[in-house]
Amino acid sequence: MILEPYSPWLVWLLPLFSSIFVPLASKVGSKFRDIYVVGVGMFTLIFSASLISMVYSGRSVSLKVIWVPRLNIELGVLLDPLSVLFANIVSFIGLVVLVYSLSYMAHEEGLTRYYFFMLLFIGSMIGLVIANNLLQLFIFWELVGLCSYGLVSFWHKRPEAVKAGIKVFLMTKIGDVALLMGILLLYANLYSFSYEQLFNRYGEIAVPTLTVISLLMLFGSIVKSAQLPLHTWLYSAMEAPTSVSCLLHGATMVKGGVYLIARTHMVFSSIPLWLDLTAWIGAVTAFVGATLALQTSDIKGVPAYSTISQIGFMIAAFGAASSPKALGWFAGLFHMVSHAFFQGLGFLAIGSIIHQLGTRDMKRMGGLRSNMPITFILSIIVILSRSGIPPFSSFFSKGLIASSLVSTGNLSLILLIYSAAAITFAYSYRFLVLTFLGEKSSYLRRFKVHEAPLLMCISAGVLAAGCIIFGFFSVPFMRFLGVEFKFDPSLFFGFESLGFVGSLIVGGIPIYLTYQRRSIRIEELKSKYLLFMNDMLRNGYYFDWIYGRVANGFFNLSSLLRSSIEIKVLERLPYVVADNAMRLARFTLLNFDVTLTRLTHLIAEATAYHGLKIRRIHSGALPHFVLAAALGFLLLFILLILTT
Amino acid sequence: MEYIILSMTLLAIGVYGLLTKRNLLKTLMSIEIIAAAASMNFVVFSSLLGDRMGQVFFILALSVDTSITAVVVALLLVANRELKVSDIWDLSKLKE
Amino acid sequence: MVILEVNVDVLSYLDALALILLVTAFLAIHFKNAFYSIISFGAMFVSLSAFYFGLNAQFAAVFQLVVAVGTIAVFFLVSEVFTSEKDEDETVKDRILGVIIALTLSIPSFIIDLKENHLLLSPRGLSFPYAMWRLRVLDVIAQGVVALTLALGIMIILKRRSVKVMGEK
Repeated sequence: MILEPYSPWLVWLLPLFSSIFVPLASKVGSKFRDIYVVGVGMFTLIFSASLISMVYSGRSVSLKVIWVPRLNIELGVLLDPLSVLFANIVSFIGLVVLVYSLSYMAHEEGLTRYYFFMLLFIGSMIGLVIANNLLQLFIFWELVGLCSYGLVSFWHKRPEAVKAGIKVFLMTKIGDVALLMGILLLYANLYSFSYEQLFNRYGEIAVPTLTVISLLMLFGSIVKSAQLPLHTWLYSAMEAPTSVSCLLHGATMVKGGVYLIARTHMVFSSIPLWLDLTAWIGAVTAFVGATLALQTSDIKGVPAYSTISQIGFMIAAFGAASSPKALGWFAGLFHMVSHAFFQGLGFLAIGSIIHQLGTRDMKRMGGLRSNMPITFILSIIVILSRSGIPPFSSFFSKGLIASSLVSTGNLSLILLIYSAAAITFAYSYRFLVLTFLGEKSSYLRRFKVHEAPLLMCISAGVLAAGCIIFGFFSVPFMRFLGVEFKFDPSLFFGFESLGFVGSLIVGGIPIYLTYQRRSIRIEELKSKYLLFMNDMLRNGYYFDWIYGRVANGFFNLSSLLRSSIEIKVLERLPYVVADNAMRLARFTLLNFDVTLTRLTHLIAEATAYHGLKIRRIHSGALPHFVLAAALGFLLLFILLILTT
Repeated sequence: MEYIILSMTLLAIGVYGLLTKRNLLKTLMSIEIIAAAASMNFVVFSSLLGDRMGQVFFILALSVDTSITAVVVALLLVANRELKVSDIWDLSKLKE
Repeated sequence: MVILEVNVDVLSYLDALALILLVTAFLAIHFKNAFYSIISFGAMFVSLSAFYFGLNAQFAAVFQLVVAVGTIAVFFLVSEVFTSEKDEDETVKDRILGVIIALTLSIPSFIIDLKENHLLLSPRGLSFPYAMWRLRVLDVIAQGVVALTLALGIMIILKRRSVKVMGEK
């Protein structure tokens, strides 16, 4: 193919450098800027698609140039199925979101900034997944964090958005520090950042060191992927425009952690602690995220907590895989792709609703079915796909995750995952009931609601099609990734998958009873029987409260230190020193300097006095001088004669 | 004949001139004689020891002497014009 | 002729030149008439030049002669300025007395022979510390006094100046 020599570089350099020229393009005109941005997204997709043929069936290609020879740092790309898969997902979702934003963001201010950050976001995420060394990965990792900050705080006039941006930035920074520590520890042991060296030589590192490195890098990944315990930033990031949320959830930000875990799985799967911890974090997060999604009344909160939960599924699957060739690794990546489709679609659908209604409160919605039929259908697709109803992609991926977890035999993990799956259906169903079904709320009666614009529907429809058909491509997808295990399509219809579907009914029934039938009074239930549970969920398991207390503790400590040390000691110290210096100076002046002055005056006056007396000798006449000289000479001569 | 004693005698003559004469011209002459007596040693010893370096230094000393004389003459002319002095004792008034 | 030969043996022509040198030098100082004085001075330089020539130092002789010519010319020019009217010519008796004194002065250079008493002026017997602390001790002390006086003077000047500056402030 003609693009082959260039596309590995252009696929990430093009969006990165095109982002710089967005302001220039918007000087030409908003129409030109839109065409420019979409064109860049399209070319990025073409380039990334052209990479597929290079890596089919598990080949891997590494291209590099030396960057810093003395430190063994190189700049390069690693093309293998994993990186190409992620690059394609990012560029595809990126293009869809860019097209969607043309319509969704059309009437906003500061679109130059928006498109600049979007292109930079896409470019740096592709750079992150396609880098061939950890240093390059970290640079793009930070760039992704920067872009997420810029985009979450896009509506910079809203204080919540600014606060959310700062929260996102700070919380992910905690993970970044851990990741950097891990990378530097690796470098200290291997003197190289590249994956090749890491994969070939990780056996040289002592096991305790490798364990520490793996835990640090796992921490970095789970913070980026919004897993417990630092998951709360993802809900705050909902202050961003919905298209940004779609990109952030579907492809870029949170998938960075998934990518890093999948990439380093080969190295760290030799450590049982890492595997166990990964599986447990994933499973617990899946459950916690799902329960949080059940409670929220924010329409964007549902997909936000859903993402936390679904990524928990993926990470649990990674933890269940004993090696990169095992089923769990494949299942996690498979679920990652289907999640990219259905969660992207979910955000696009919700974006249409918010675009029409201008509110995010689900309690003020209801009965949108008749007004927005296309969005309703899309939402149903999202819900079915997310819950894992058979023909949709998520059914296959979740089935694989379930079977991989069952193969580990850890009962509590299995229970957590199954209950998380049940709650997934429950919160999706609740979302549907609250938003589209039922009667129109008083808020909605006030104005007429239209269907979303055509462009938004088209871009959402593309993702919907992906949701529907992707599940049937599991076998080619597996070949593409080069995973080798005996794969039986009937695995999808085994006990695990069907039990999985069965669990959905368990989750669906209470929702049906409470929200659609209203045979159980939800408020009564909450206040009487589930008081503790409700309290916990309403406050998000008190994670933010704890972090707030910790931060407050630091603030109190610093103010205590300030009042005790800064004001009482450090600010007084200069005065004390200066005061004593003044005293010393005065003492010296009185005792030494005055004495010295007197002495000098004495000597000077004595000299002057004697000078006046001696002056008479000095006649100024030349003969006198000569006489003196002659006498001196004579004296010397006599002395000379006497001494010899 | 002792050349050292010769030059010392010449020096003594110069010193005598400085001591006794009050005329500025005589004073200058005495200084010249003293200088000649001093630089004479260079030539005498260079000639006796067969080393030409002494003559080189003699020429150096002579040129310095001569230039000093020129400067002194100029200074004395200025002093004479401004203060109307031709006597060395009068010059001691410059002290005040 | 005989006398001349004898003279050449006992007194060489260099001795004669030295004699002339001393006499003319003394007369240059002694004469009250400026004109005579300068003539005598020039004669002194000429005889000095000849003396150098006799010492086989032709270059020095020529140089001395050239410089002497310039000096004499300058002296002739400025002699008018420096001669005062009250000076009067000395008598012939005085002139003869001057010549005799000069001749008397030239005697030591002929009779003293330093070759026997070489310790007096030979530098070889002296070491530097000996010369410094035995021969020149008074000199060193005098130099020290001079240096101290100089330092004190500088100190006074500086002090006075600083007082002046502070007073201005």
